[in-house]
Amino acid sequence: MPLRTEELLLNMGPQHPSTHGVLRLVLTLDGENITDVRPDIGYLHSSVEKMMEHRTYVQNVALTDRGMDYLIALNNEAAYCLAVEALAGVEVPERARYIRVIFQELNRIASHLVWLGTWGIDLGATTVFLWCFRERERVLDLFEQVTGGRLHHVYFRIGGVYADVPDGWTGACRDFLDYFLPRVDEYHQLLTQNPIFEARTRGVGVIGRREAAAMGASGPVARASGIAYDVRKAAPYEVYDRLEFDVPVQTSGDCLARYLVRLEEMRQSVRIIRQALKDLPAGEVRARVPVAMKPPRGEVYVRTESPRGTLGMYVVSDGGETPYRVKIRAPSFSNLYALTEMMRGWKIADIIAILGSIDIVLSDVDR
Amino acid sequence: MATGLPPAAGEARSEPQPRRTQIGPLAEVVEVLDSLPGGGLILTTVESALNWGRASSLWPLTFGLACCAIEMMAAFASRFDLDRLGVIPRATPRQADLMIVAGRCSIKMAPIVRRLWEQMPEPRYVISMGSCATCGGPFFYDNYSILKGVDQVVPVDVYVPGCPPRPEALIEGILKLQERIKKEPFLRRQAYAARDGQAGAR
Amino acid sequence: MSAAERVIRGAAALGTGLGLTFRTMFRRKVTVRYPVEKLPTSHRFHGLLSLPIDPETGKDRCIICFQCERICPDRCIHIEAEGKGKERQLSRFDIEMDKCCYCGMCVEVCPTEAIVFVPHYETSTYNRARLLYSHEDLTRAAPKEPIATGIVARRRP
Ligand code: SF4
Ligand code: SF4
Ligand code: SF4
Repeated sequence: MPLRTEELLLNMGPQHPSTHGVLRLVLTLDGENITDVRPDIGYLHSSVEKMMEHRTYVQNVALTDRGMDYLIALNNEAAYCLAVEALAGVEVPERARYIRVIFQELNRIASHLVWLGTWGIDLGATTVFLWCFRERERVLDLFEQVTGGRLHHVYFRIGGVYADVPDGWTGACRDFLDYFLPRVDEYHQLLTQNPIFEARTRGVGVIGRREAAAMGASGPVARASGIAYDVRKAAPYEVYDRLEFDVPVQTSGDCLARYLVRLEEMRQSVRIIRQALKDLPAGEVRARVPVAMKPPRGEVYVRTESPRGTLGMYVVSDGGETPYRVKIRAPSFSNLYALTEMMRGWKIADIIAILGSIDIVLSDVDR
Repeated sequence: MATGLPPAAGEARSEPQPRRTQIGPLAEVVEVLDSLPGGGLILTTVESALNWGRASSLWPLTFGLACCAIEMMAAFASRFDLDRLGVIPRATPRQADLMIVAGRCSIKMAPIVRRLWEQMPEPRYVISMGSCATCGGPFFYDNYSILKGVDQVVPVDVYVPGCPPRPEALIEGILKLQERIKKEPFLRRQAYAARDGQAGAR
Repeated sequence: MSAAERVIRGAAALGTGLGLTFRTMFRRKVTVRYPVEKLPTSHRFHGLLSLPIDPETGKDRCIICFQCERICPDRCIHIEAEGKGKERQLSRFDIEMDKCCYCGMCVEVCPTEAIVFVPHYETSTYNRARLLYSHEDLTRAAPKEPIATGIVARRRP
């Protein structure tokens, strides 16, 4: 006779060493099995969409860094700048577009490294954390030489980028890429073959193709379930249509697949940066845009591919100095929906692996 | 607290503090020693030895709120390696002496920050890392959800400005805190607190 | 998979992983022993804000145009001036360094490079009030020799 246990409600978070921020999960348990998960969000709500309505278009670049996903400041800036440029009809110089691509891809690498490191800690592999942050520091050094910031840059501007890259930076960037590619193989060596790692990730937290699509998952989460959708390919922005790269896809939809997709994405990012550095044209990096810019009345929605998925930016202008409304389509928020589907039926011990594998940033979820 | 609103600054301080003292029965010995001639010297020596120990093993709570937490993680990671200074993150507030409030604290999160702080044993310290934790920073104006400074809910010892502060800046803040701990009249304060029935560790 | 096979696979994976770890032990160390040795910051690093003194005039270069105050997204610069025409001078130039988000917009818009970043980040205090930098603090924060902030030289077109 199967043993019946009473239903138990368990709170995980908001302060929990492995919730990657201030997420609270209300778990309904049957013994050790999870029957339902209800994420409680809003612990980091920073009302950034509202604040943007009170700041001018130029000032808002500083807010997109902080109020949205803080690991990918440059991707956020790019999404916002693209939206406002489309609204105001600003033509971005060619060199600036290449520089933007280089920096977005560097930021993708940095973001995936943070994810891999913290997920490694969750699964009990501390070495990975230390190694990932070792490489990440080198990316941040590259950032600091150009933008002056390590995490928050305020480097992209409406109509280009703030300043050109300093002399010798491209060489330093190439050096880093040469250094970085073998490191990805090292991560493979350290983790992929490891039986403990495999046991904790293979077949765990499966989400099928149809469910992933129905839940609105995007980015690596969707690609691990077999949805070969990448905004960089589907609706190229900046200069992605001129660069050659593959979109890694896995079909199993489990934690291991998501891990493999992200590792491959880092490789592809390296490939993109190499090409962009090679093709980098000379010229201006910034179009002339007045400080008090007033885009014409209208609205625009721009999609970009952030490391976490489709990052949408919807900006409405009423012809004034400040946006009338800004709506951010946050990839983490949609991916968090898929979490419930993934977790149902698994044991408590698997929560950490599954939650880590979807790579959410709470600042992006709550905004 | 039930309303989810943080207590106002004045309110937080006037709440009765839980009685916690770490030296218990030794309190009387300290008091007697302090009143003896020459006892002060002994006390000070013992105190500085104790303080050296306390300052060299500050265990912070692993507790990150927002962007600054990433820089805090970087400070614990390979390049800056806070373990060198005896700063080893603990996952539970009951084993931690230091709370690094890294990032913006929303009004919904404020009671939890306060509760975590209350769960930490005396003597406890708080470092406010970044502009947001210090005073709201970029989220000060036009904002309805972010607390204007975490010192409204917990008393802060060291403020580290920056957005985010470099890991070096955080380490410098921790060094500043260590300096302060080394100068603290720890034993006497605990003893008198035990006598007066309140742990007035600050 | 049989038990023996699992053991062999596990041992092999452990060997690979640990081998990698041991090899890393002999690589160059990446740790910076911070208070003793310090990493150089880049020329463009967004550290503390300051108003450097112009060695020719002995004063700062601010022309009281209020541009920085207007652009600051955190509204943390406070400028007041008194006097008319040539006699016009600053009576207040405060920056709330605790509110500042080090975005660099004020540095960007300043027409005379009066306000610049200095690569100085060790500014933690015990008292929040100390983070309100007055004009005097801001001029004191500037290093004596002129600084090449790089990013200042390429201002908006
Ligand atoms: S101070 Fe800056 S980096 Fe830190 S939490 Fe606030 S916005 Fe993020
Ligand atoms: S750096 Fe940015 S936030 Fe700080 S004073 Fe200048 S404009 Fe304001
Ligand atoms: S922008 Fe420069 S010159 Fe104008 S008020 Fe500010 S510091 Fe002074």
